Amino acid sequence: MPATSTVTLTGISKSYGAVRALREVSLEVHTGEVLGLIGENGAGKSTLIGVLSGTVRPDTGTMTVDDVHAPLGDPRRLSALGVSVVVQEQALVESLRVYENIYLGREALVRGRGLRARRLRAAAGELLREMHIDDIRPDALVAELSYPQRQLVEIAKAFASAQLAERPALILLDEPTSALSEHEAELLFSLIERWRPRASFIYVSHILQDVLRLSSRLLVLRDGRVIDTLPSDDVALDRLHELMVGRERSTDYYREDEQRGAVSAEPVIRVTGATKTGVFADVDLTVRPGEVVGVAGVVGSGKSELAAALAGATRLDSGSIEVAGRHQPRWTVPLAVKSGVFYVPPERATDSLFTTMSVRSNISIGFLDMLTSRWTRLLRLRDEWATAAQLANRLQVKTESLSTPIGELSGGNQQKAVFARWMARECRVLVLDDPTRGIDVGTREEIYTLLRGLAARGVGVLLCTESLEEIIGLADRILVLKDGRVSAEIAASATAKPSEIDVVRHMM
Amino acid sequence: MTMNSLDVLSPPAAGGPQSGGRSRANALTYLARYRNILVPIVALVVLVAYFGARNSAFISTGSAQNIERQMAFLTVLALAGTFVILIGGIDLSVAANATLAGILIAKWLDSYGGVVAILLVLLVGGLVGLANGLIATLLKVPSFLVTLGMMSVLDGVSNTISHGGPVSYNSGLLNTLVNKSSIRGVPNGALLAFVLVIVFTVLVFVTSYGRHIYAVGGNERAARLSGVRVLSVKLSVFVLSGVIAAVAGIILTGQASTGVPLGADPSLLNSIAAIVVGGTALSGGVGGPHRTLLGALVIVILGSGMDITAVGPYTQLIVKGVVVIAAVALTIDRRRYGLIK
Repeated sequence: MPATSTVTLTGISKSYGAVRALREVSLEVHTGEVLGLIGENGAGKSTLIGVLSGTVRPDTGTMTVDDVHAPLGDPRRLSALGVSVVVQEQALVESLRVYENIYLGREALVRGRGLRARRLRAAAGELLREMHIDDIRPDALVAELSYPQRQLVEIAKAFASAQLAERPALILLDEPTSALSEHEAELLFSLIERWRPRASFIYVSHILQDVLRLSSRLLVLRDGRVIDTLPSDDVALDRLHELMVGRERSTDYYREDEQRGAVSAEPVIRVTGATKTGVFADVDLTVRPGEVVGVAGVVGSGKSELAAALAGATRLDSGSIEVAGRHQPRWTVPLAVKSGVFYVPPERATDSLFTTMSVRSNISIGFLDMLTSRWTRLLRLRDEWATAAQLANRLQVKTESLSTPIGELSGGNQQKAVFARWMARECRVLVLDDPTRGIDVGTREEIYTLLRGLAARGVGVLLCTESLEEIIGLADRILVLKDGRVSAEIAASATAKPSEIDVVRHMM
Repeated sequence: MTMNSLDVLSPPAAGGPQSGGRSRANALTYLARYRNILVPIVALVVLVAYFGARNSAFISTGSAQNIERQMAFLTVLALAGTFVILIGGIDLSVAANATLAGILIAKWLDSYGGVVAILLVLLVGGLVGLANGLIATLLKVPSFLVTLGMMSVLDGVSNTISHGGPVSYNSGLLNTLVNKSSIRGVPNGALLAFVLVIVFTVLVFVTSYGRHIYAVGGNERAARLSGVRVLSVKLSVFVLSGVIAAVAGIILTGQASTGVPLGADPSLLNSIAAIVVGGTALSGGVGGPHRTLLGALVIVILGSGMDITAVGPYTQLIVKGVVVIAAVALTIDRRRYGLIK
């Protein structure tokens, strides 16, 4: 077994439709090194980890391990070359035992005496001891483990695979500590230190202190490009924030000249002490008529769940919701709709579309009660058709006809139809979760114009999105969530927009 | 083209949506588009023509009445299953529920009097449906398993009540309701089935409750997030299914003039075949009661046509199976939606 090993990526690019997730990314990592990978949400970190582990096949570029071409997009063969990975989405088989999971697919590589099961159990026990994990038995069923324990097993699995590789391994860690306690995270860090002589690491985390402490070198990604690589001693956090963000903002794009702010001081929706255990805690939030309130935060900060709770889609564990001055103890989606609080959820395909149904039905589902005749309880189909056509026209939903199944429309037009769903009712508050995800630039602009128009008419908007640029451009006020708590509230009037660094600083 | 849009009945888009004007689709793409309604209709025409040519007795009043009788029962039974399938579940207990209703009506008709007995039987059917629904939604047991178990429970119950033998009754009410004709040549049972199809077709297309059924079947999560009360839609659909199954049981007992143990049970697979051949997808959200009428006609005509042309019973089974598979393969546009979840 060679003492050191080098993995290189050269000119890696990957596009998803119009979105360019990675552009000409190159990197090199040697045994004994921890490469810290940092960037904003959507900068391309996870895609890059996917390319290295083989779950994402890039459009162009090459990968070599010790000057030998590596098979891109083939997780099995990459893992045989010594690449192992710990990701946020866990990939354990719940019905199998811990040791079976750790050596899944690599059982034959574990040598020694005795029956295979006993051999694997012994090897797993030794590995867990080396990691100083004493509360997980090797023959426990994964289904019986807690979420953090599973994350530890996931980590053990990656290290086991590194142990079995023919050459010094590359271990990819994508937000490995997000589910771990501080103590458990420390266990991982000391394990990395001890393994450094015989492996290389790529470490991704939004906890910059951890990245700085562990890594010897940093690679900064922004918009899918490598912005800089720099040694991690003596780097100021502010400098990193600047590198991660630093781009020009266009004021026209977000119609900032039309930004007026709240038209009345009385909040249209007020949340106090909102808590959802393990997700967010003690959040106070108000939205006034005509105001756009942005909620910023990294993935997992609780912002998406907060938006869902405001829309009635999930129940708060404690805290109160007040809409137009009325306390709402049992806040549900039907009640929210009746009160004029409408939700545009983040995942179109799973959360908002009825793909086999017509564009018309997808729009009218939001106001069927208004189309029901009082005497016959039947729908007035003519009204339905006319209203849907009018709304589709107003929001410029491009479709062959209103009877076309909505699944055949482009993402942008689907999203406009989802907005149209709520536009026939009197709207007080719009709760938007990543409303422009995967949508082309032109349609984005149309949606921004729509939002400005609604705000001018006194609609309150709660906007939670992955894009800082969008939140700064649109919002009058920005609430920053960090680990489920409000870490800052930043004013963002049209004339005094904060910079992205000002916001990012409170996110991480 | 999904059938939950009432394109035929609706006026064209006033002002039209953006890109202006419908595309001038040629005849072929139209055929492809509407094939899920065309396939069962063409199948019907071909079957009638074929059996008519083979044996002229097929196109006769007697044969028509026979078909109408069978169709009445099978359509109503399949209607019961249609709604649960539309919300993306399946109800395997409809036939057993119909059997129980058939036994109970025979048992109660003379002692309670016609109207009360019928109402009671419908109530029992509805309660069975409610039990299915509560277990499926609150305990989150897949409807397939709940209703599979319920089928066995109901068979046990109805055999206990009937002591495993036929239950006879004296009242002439059912005979009037099911076998006599208000319109010449059409038994009342068939008329009832037809009326039910119309009523339920209106229900699913022209009420918000109906739209909610399609929404829950099409995408339950999206339905919930857009304000549909998913739980109550699901529960009510199971109850509706139970009540309609009881109607099917009453029709069966009326036709047989006696409560038959396991009377409706053998028709379970036929009823599911009728639903699927009609073009209602097992994945939910696509199809409807009007399609089930077509499907039931195909299944019944196929069966009685083969009877009249003296096809052996074993061959009949083979042909029926092939027709079901072929119809589904041709009908559902699988590029657009899966047949099952």
